[in-house]
Amino acid sequence: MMVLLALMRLGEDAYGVPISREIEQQSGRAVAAGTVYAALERLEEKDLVSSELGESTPQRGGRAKRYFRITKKGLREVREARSALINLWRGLREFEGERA
Amino acid sequence: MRSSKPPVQATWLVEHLIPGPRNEALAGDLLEQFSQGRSVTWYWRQVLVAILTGFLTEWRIFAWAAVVTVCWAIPLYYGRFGNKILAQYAFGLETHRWFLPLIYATVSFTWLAFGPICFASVMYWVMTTDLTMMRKAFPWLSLLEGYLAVAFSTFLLLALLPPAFVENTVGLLPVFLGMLVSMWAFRRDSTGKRTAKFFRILPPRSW
Repeated sequence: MMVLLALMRLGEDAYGVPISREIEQQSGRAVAAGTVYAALERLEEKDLVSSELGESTPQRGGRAKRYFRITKKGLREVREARSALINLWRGLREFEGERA
Repeated sequence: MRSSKPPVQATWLVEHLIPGPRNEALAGDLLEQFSQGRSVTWYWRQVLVAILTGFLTEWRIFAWAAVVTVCWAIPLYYGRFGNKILAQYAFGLETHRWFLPLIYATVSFTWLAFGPICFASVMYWVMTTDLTMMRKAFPWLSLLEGYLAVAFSTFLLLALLPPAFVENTVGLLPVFLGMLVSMWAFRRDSTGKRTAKFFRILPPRSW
């Protein structure tokens, strides 16, 4: 879910480095690039994410970037997960009075 | 002082041990972050985590490859042995004790019956997969050439090894390992997706 949300936040510029950075900044936890790619690959297998190869730069040793984008199905999943979470969140005594 | 170049060995490991299409992009991402000031220790940690994650996410594929390899290697090994015994029977050559040839003949007949099916299944599986890994290592190999190379080397291995070596249990090991490595190398389909869905691939296709 965090990866999908990071993709949505980044829009067109979503490849490995900014995705990892976005997750790190928003969650406050360090993430390994390998685990982010593993998650992206799983999401791609479920057709929640699509990817395409982009440009390569000398900084990257001539290796192409892989840009990821959330699919319509992915967007639907995020919406459903969001509403499920809101429903679960609602009425929790421990968080009453707090704003989500 | 921080090294200006990332460890070559680590980059090599990323490109060769991480399966599928992610390895090149991942290697590029790591290089990009390294050029922005990350340390060598960070680089190595990322590489090791990536390899470990890659293996953990692919263990099911490895398990399937191992199962298929066992199904292939055992009849191949015993089939060869059994055929030799059958030839001894057919041409009236020397026969050993009775019970052993009987077992080998049974195994051999089973192999003769199921062998083509096993062969066709493996062939089908290989033909529906992509040789991304093999192409990377041997770019001059085409799909069919790659398969034939593996099949030929397996048979050659069986033919060239001393019979005494092949006919004991150790003889099975090179066949098993050879097939496992080849199955592992063929584990991606043409879209770069995993081929772990071995039985999911088969039904929609017609023979």
